[in-house]
Amino acid sequence: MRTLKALWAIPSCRFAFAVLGLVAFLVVFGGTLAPHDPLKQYTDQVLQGPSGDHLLGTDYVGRDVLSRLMAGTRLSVAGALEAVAIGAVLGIPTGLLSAWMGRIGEWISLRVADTLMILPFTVFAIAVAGTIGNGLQQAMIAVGILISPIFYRVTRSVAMGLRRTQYVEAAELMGATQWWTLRKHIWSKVLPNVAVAGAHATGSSLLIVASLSFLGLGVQPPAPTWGGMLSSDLGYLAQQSWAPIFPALLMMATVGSLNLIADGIRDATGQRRRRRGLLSRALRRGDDLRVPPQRREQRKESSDAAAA
Amino acid sequence: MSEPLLTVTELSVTYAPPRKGTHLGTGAALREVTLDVRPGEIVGIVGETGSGKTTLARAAVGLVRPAAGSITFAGTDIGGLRSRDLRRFRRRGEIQLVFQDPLRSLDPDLTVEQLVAEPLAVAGDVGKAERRERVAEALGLVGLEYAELRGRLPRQLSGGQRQRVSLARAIVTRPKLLFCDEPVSALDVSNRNLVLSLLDRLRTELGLAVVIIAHDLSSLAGIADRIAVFYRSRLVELGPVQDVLTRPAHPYTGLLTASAPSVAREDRLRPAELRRAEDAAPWEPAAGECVFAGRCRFVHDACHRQPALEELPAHPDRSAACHVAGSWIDRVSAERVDTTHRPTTRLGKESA
Amino acid sequence: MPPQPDQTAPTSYADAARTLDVDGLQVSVGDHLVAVRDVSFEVRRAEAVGLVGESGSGKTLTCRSVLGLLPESGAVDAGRITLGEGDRAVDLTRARRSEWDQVRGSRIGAVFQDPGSYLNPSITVGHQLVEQLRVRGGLSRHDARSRAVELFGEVGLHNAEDVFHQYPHQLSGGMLQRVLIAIAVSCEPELLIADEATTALDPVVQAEILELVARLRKSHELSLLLVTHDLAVVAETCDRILVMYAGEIVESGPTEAVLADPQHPYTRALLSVASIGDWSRRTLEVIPGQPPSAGERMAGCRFAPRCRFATGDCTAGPVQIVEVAPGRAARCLRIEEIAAQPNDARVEVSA
Repeated sequence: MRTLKALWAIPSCRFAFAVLGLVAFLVVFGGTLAPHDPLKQYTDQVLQGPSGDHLLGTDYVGRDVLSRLMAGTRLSVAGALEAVAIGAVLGIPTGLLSAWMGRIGEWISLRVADTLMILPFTVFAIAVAGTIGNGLQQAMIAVGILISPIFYRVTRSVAMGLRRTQYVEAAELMGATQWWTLRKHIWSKVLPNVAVAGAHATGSSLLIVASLSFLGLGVQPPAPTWGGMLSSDLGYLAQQSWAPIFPALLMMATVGSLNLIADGIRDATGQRRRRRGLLSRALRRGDDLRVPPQRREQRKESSDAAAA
Repeated sequence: MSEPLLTVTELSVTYAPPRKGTHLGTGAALREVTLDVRPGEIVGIVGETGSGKTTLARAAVGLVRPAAGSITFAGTDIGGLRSRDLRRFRRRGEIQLVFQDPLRSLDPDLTVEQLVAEPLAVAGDVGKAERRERVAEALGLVGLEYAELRGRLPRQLSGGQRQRVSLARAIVTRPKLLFCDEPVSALDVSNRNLVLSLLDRLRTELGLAVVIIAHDLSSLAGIADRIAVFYRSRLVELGPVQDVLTRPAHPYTGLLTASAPSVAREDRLRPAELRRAEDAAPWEPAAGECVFAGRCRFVHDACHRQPALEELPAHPDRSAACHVAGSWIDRVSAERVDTTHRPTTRLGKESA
Repeated sequence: MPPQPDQTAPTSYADAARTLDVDGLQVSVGDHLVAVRDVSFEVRRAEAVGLVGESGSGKTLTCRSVLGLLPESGAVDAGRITLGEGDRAVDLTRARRSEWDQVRGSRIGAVFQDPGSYLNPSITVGHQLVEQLRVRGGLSRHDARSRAVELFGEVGLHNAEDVFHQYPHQLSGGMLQRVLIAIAVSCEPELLIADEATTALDPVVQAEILELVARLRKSHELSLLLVTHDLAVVAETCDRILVMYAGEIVESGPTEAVLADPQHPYTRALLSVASIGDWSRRTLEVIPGQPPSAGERMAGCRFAPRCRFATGDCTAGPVQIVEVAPGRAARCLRIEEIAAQPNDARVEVSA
């Protein structure tokens, strides 16, 4: 809650929330509010520019672009979220456990994560589609598995760092169980990092969904998705060079907003300080007094002063 | 004299041998340490960084396992406890360890109330209402206002308040023995004495035994009853604090008291009087030799054998691990008489 | 060797050349919070001056302004910091990058609390000193190397040749501090600033480092500005003492005189809680209350809320620092009245 409030205080995050709110609205109501049936082909109005009837024009078989964009939101976003959810469910618990699993479990989980990370996702997705059939669910399962190492690594690195902290040790001294420590002390530190990773992963899986439909994997035509629209529009660049702009803009806005929020979370949960440290280090690089300034104390002094 | 609360007998602790390529880890962290702590007494522990002070505290609360020897607390052999029994023992909260840096030992995301209540919550045998009462009581004992501070996070407290919160968290389980690892080294002088006198008060009010690890002798001189001096993982001297500080029996204790900076310049030992001559043959003590031999001015052939911690003949309540315990100090005094006595000023002390 | 009774009369520095002159320094941090105000002092050649205060008293900001290393949010609002005298005088408050480059490391050396973080962990300490000697001192590779070994010996590192080839993580805290001191004095600076340089060390090592600094001070005619929270350390090493409280200097004077007969109630209070080296003292004095937070606006004396001598006059308006004896000054309105009160904490000093 505290983090959310802090996020709302950042102007760029407020903007991002507004964009995502609009996207969420489209997910729910996009299909019903669409002015035309997204699948209806106005065969007499193929490749039209924007007009009063078709606000964003029509595509190569005469379907209304605006309606397809609105109706396509659900499939595109739901797909991305599904993939992220699968990735998180697979990655977070294993990441947490790997810090306590003992050497063998740790080794195995690390190797699995490494293997998944080097698999080229399109090939993997094609392989999955070949084995369990082509469809949105199957494609998203494939994508989810492939992005799970992101969550695994983020969770694991935070948990590893915390395992040796004094407050975890202090909890152990109180006779706390590992479950207690995990719940009370570790989870609250892991969560913001997972949220950042999640926002990034949602953005990139949106793009993956799009590129998979671009390849003909996942959502099957004629069902509209942003990626599918982009791919078909690219085929008619000669006739309608501006057409790919609409799905691309929508995708960019969504992914960009997610990234803004990811940055915001990082700022709000105190990881910004590290960044500022880097920046100030870069700015002060010329200061080559043999003994550089004691940054920690400096920061403490200034923050004390700010608190006053 | 009452029964000891904590008895440490011939305790040795070894850390895992250093890994390939690192220079960390020296093997033994504590060697044959024997020490007891009685109810209601304050024992001070001093020594260099890495001399085993903290290891002793960690072994006493069961964070590290003894390689040899035993640690008995009120009849329970702590070193022998295994997972479930150890957890049960810890939940009773009879021994508490207060970490050195409250900023690191207090979870930054928990409020003061949650932090202080955590030991009770972990044990789980106290109801919510009583828990709140106990938290308020513990905070009151350390001089903090429950109503005012309960919702604060550690970073919203001053250094002194933070240290007192971690004390409150330690006494909330009504322990019998409290280990404090450098409780005041991070504090300003004004807060330092506040926390120390608080420990003194807790001892009288709760009948608590307190072990204070410190590197600052003057803070111990004010409140400790007995003092234990560690050097290179060995206990080298033990005794009533004033006797030990004013008339040290081990040369290392002497060096320590002589080195402590002070405002007054009364006539006392000076570090230069206790340092080994620059031209003396270097002596890097091998296993079995006296650990202090390399830095000791009074080293002789007997020092090839590590002396055991033995009672001083004239003082049954004091002991030291030195072949010349007690006699070296007379040698120093004799030298002083030899050289014409000068007004002792410690300002211009020179070793060259 | 027994100590020499080389107690130089404190006034003997008065006619020595001035190394550092700080005049009316005011530093603010963050949102115009004045954290250091009206700080004036000077350091003479070969003199050791101790700046004592608790955390938040502004002592670190003061010494950082001398080094030009204020935090990003900090700035010198008023006052003047002059290094050296005559031709070599540099106004540090107006110094530019290039001027700082000529001053820091060459004319001012500095050592801080955590020596390990000021050395590059992947370069041998010898190499780091050689680098300094070559860049600042302009020595050739060969000369720099032999000078480095010599310097390591001078700062009391045994087996200087071996230490030369070691990496920072192989050395103890005390040895690292010696390496940093060697680096700091390598270019024969006029002024050495030690900011809590011995705070984290064991007492035995601390005493050795303080001795080393005293020795270097003598052999290099080095002026020392020692910043610490420990009154006892200043008592051991410094000729003059500056006591800072809440951003102001509240008392200054020769160490012996100040400790024997403190004029300001804060100095008195500080003495009563400091380690006076009396092992049989069993009382733990506490200064009541908390210092004001940095930059807090207060009309009068900033110590008044914690002072048992405070009256209405004390909080009415700003209190000026006044000379109470030659070379001694205090910022208090009630010096005479307080002097009449018995002081339990007064320390007997053998004359």
